[in-house]
Amino acid sequence: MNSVALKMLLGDRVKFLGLVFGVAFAALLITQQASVFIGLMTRTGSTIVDAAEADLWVMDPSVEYLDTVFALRETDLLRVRGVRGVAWAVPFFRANAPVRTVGESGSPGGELQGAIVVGVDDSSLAGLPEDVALGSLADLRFPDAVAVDRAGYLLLWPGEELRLGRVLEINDRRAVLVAITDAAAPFTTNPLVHTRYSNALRFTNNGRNALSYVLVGAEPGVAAEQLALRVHKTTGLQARTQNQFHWQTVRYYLANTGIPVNFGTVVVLGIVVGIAVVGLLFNTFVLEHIQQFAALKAIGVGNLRLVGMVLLQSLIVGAVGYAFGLLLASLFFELGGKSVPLRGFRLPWQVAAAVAGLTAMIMVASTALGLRRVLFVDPATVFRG
Amino acid sequence: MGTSDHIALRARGIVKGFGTGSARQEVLRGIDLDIEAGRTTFLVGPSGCGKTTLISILTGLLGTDGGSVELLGTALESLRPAQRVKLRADNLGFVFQQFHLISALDATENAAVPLLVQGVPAREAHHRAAELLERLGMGAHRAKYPRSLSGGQQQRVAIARALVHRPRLLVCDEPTASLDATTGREVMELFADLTRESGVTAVVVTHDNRIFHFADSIAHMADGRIERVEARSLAPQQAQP
Repeated sequence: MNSVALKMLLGDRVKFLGLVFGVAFAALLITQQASVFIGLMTRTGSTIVDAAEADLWVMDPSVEYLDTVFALRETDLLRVRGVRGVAWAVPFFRANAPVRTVGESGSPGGELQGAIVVGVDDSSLAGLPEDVALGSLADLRFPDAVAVDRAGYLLLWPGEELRLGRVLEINDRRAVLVAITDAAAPFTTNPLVHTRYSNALRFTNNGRNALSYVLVGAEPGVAAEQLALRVHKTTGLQARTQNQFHWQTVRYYLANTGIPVNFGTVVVLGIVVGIAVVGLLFNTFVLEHIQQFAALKAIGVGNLRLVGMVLLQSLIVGAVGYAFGLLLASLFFELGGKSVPLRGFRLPWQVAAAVAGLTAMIMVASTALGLRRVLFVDPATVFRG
Repeated sequence: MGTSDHIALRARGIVKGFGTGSARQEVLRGIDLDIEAGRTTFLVGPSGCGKTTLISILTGLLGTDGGSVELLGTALESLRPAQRVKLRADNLGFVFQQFHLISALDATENAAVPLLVQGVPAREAHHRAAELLERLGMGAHRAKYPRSLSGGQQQRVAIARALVHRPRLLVCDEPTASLDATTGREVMELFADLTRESGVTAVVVTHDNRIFHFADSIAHMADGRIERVEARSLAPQQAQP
């Protein structure tokens, strides 16, 4: 009887396509929004992701998330270095500064952007992103040398080929481009400028006590979590593992911005619209076939088998709609991910799995009414002309 | 198993009403009826006399308010719903006034449905359905869908569906109501041939007096009661080997 159920479903192509479209739309909407939300939240800690070699981030106890820092004293760096289990500890600077391009003639006045300036340890250069699109990060040791991320480069020099040696002004101070990075996309679309710590202080006009963070590498065999506790106990500073600090930043955005509410609203709307559209269409489908279901009952098809037939129809609609929605969402991230604003956004398998569960929920809710009609249809109605 | 061998269906004191209180309407007021095995019995009467209700009760699709029904030797009251469903699937064939063919299935697939319900493999079910359709003169239309078939052709498919699993009791509800006179006569001739061949017991609900001559006996209903049973022929039909 499964073949009969499938033919009943596929025989009404308009309704079948409508059902599949409804499920696909809901799956696409939920998948796309959930994935973009996760991508945005991941971006909030992009600088943490880029400084992959650091086991710990040490900061002032009042710091709640990555973007708002309270400067440490230079002596704090030395105190951290003195903690048992610390292999290395380096300064790390992060601030915002205006960046302006300088034309070939040497006259400023090109593109003006607000940039994120990251300063890493002058000697070790620890804390730089790993992926480089052009040039070498070792060249940051040259005077005035800076690296800009690829997306930032395209903001500063729109439509131009990647080229090194270009000149910038950061807070009216000359900087020379020596490398272009593929750094993790930041939460905002500002250019991401990496330079040495000393350069960063100069570019941003910071005086003393400008140390944003201390990046720490643990000695071999020392667990990062335990070392974080030890650093905190010894120095009184806040110490977090990379993962802990990333999540702390994400939690701050979740708690203090309207982002989760906005995205959550769309996801809920996707579920509601999915249930409404699919439920309405499925109910109509069942209603249009109710006499056929009644005839099957009269002929000798039991309720259990009828339930199986309807659930099979629901399963097929759900599976095809989900697959189609997921395909469209994948295409969105595959094609959109190549653009600058959407770079780094992807479809996590966890989202795909969760949306599969939500689709199943939508189908169960949508099928319930139709299923009830099939279960309770009086087979004797087939005798009523 | 109290029904005599020559009685396929026995009803005693069937009472049925719908609604409650002042809106209550008694539809069947004590029906006693014996349907002889291997014969074609017509159940006739004016609209609203209770034919449809009675046929629904006799086939286990509707419960009674009182009385008893023995169908093929089994008291329907003693069966659980699932057992009634199985009894219908194994022993009953239905021809409905509105055909109720499944629109997404072609003629062969429609005719094969009772076999699929019984668990017969699809290939065999379709083969047997196609053979029967051939005999019903539907060979050229086996792959057609109901919307492409005329009323008479749809009725032939419905008859094939009713007989394909070789039921012991065939129930037809107004088989000619949706057909013109000529097609109705042709369908009934075909129906009579097939029932005679197979020896199946047939109950036909109708008020079309142009087809009364196909009946072996006619039960006349009026106002929720059997008024009289008219025997048209005495010898029960013999099943062909």
